[in-house]
Amino acid sequence: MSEQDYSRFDLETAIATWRQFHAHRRVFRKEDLDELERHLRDHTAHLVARRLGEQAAFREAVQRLGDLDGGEAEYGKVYWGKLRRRREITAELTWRITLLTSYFTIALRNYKRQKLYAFINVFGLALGMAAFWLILQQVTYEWSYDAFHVDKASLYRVHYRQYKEGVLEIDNAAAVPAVGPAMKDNFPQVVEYARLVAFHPVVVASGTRRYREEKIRGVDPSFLRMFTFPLLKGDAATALAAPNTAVITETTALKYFGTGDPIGKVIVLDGTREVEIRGICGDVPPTSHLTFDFLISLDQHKRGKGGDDDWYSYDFYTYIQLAPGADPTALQDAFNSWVARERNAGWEQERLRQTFDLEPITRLHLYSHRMQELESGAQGDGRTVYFLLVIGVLVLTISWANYINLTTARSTGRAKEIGVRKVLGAHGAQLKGQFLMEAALLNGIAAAIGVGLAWAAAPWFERLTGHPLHTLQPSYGGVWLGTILVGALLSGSYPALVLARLKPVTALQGYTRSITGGIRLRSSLVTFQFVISMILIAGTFIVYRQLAHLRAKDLGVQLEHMLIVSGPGISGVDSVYTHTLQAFKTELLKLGAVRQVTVSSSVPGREIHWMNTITRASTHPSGVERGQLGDKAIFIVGVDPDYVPAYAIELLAGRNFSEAFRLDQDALLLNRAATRLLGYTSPQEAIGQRVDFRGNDRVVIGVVDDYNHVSPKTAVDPVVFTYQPAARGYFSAKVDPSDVHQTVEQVKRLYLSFFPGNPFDYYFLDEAFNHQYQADLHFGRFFGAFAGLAILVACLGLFGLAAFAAEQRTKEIGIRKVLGASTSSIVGLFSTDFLKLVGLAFLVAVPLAYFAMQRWLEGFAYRIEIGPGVFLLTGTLVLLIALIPVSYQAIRAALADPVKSLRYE
Amino acid sequence: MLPKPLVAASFEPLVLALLGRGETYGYEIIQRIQELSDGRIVYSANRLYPLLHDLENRNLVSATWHHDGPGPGRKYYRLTKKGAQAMAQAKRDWLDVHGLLARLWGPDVSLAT
Repeated sequence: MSEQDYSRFDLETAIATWRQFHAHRRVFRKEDLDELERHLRDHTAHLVARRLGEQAAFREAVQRLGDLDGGEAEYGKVYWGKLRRRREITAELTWRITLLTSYFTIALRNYKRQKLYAFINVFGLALGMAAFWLILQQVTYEWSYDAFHVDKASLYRVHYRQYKEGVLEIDNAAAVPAVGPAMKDNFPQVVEYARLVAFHPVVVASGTRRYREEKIRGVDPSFLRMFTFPLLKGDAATALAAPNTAVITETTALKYFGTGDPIGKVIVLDGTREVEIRGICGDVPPTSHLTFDFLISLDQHKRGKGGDDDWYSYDFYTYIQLAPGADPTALQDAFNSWVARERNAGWEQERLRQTFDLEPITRLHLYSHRMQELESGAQGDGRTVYFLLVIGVLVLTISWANYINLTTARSTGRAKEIGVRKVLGAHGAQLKGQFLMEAALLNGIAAAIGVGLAWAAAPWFERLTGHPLHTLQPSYGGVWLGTILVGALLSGSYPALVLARLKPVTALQGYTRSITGGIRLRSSLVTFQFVISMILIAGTFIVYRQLAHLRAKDLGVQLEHMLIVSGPGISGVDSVYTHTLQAFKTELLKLGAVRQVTVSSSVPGREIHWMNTITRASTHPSGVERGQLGDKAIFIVGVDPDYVPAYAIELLAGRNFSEAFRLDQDALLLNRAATRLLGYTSPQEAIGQRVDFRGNDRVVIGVVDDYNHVSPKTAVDPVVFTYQPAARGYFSAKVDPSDVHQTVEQVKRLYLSFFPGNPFDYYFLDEAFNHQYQADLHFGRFFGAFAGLAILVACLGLFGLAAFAAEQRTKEIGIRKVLGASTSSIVGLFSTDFLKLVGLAFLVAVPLAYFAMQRWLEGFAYRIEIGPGVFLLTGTLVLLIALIPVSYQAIRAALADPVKSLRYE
Repeated sequence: MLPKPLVAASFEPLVLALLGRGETYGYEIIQRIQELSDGRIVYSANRLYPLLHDLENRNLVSATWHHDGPGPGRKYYRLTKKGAQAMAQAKRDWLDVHGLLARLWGPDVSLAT
């Protein structure tokens, strides 16, 4: 084209320019622009005819076309229709795929050029994703408890609360036998009930095979209708209908009958009760709060103790099924009012009040922590599960923050590319597409590596949590895809927005400071990462210190080298048993390796299920009389005279039981908590006092110090020790630690000869007791592992940022060096910027960690105080860790040759 | 100018009605509607053309290019058979609304009927 005279308006040039301006927008097809151009020409001509100047006419016409940028959306709406009309959809799709491929290629090229950043990005993301998925699987597993029951939404368990003189005395997982029938008979919204009784350990015999079984449950026949435990053999409707019939699990069937058919076979419980097997069900799923190996039919319509009119024996776990649409809260209220009316007379007499609560069965595993839980020990904790989920999300967020950080930091390097592409006609949407594509690609690669990491870490993770992991199920595919998409959007959209908005002129100038907001954003992201890392690290310290505190706590009882043998289920009548027991104890002590032997109804570490009421019987000088204090519920442990010395329990006042005193069967020992319960001001005061225990007159002969019978996590309950030299619960033998294996063999031989027909079950008490810390220990390790992961990811980000900052300040550092700055001063200058962020993070993290961990500690009766030491330790540790990546980059920058860095000015 | 919602609601019926009177093109539609409404309805090109293209996608109008003079040709739109049916339907609907308003505002029409 020849030289143009820019001072003169030329309509053709103006139209050509206008057209070119819109030509690159894909929604305007060629014929659309033809039509618009014709419109423009018609309008201009029309206005010129009205004696307007050509330039003014053109300008007016363009203006009246309307805002074509806004019109783009309108054209976009009909765009796909046009393509369909013209059968051009395939071409369009091909074009879009080409575009995507080009985004892809550019993304790959970028990564290749910046291997280190790509690696940090991908690796950080992969770690975060792997951690998140592992945790999510764990969490969904915990949440899936009892979800396999078809009627799970309408199934509830009835809980029992007993108030004595207005004070909550019993909050029990099991209710009383009368509740189920009472609900079903009087409330139409209760369509079914099933009661379950957990049998005490029983010796089960079938022919020559005998085992001690712990998971035997007596149930109503409706149990098999309400719950989804389908029978593999037998008829669910009749299997448990008759007295003394049983359903056993597949594994149990195999254990007793091998490959033979168990249906119709008879098993013997404790050598006395014969039960016929009528059905086999599949093994209980691991996600069931109900566990059993045997289901034995309960006597139907029995009266009296354990019968349908018994309102006192609170060991009947009661499940009800509600009619569709019934409101459990309304039912609970209505039932409690009904109970108040019906039971009023009985209550007056007993001076108590009873209430019953409904809890959906799907909540039992995580949220029901009452007395006599069926799962005791294996129960989950809803709070811990939330803690885990939060940790998982935090670690994932940290890795996303890393991505945003590194991408925006690197964007300076891309500024020129963006400028050139904009000048060549790329518009905002395309650039956004490019950056989102890069984010998606990177997230995708990270996800692939993350799956690999999660898979490789699964066995380790199982050990960490102590639960089996149902890893890499296809149903988690959606979760993975979701993580990738959300991640790509979250981490890609900020860089996309910022970079796409960049003006070409600034970009081509080699923009340096045009995004100051970006720096602030990056600083806050780094601070955020360190806040989380510090909370997790401080949390780890606190969890470990709390556990150490619990273990170091003086339990008030000696558990070391204590061999526990379950008492015989099968034995003769009481007088014969007492005799055999004495002989057995004497023989045991003759072994030499056995120092002391004691029998008791319970041993430390076992929940005491035996309770009754106690009250003061004698008039006391202070004027306290029977009745004023009322009956109190108290835990009972039956012991022989050797129990207190064998367990080295401290006697505070009075004396221990003794065989020398014939009247000791009417005597009691109390623990200190029990003396407080009964209102004695000191242990001495209780000695010689008479109490009314289970309706009998008893005398207190001694008071022992409190010791943690069940678990050091809970407070000490009031306990009364009764004289029971022929207790059948457990034998405890204090053994010489030198040759434990041989000693166990010797004890076994003796046991089997004295109590034939009973299996020999034993364990060591200290191991079993320590098992109680297992869940907390897992929690602590878990916390520690993810704290480590978080700090690792955060440091990766810091490393990348420091490298970037070093690159940015190459010239500054060069000049400083030329002017005589020392290496150390440059390193210091450089590091302070980053360490300031760590300091800020510290200030934010301390209160957050404090409150979070304080809440966790509330679950313990004996807990540590959170002092400043933990936080100082955390701060120092994080500072030292953060110094590694920062100083590495700082030293590298400081040692660079200034000649090289300043050469290109 | 008429209120925007009213302009928007009457947009398609008006364009169909105008096309019902014979073949025409975008610029002329804008001019004619402006004249006929005494300047109370003025369409902008960036709304009208997408509507015409949409009608075309729905086979309510067909288009042909006529070339005369400098620059690109003119795109003329004509109602198809289906378009005529759509216009008839639009007419019934509008007259219903019109009739109802007229009755409600009319001086001596009983609402009981």
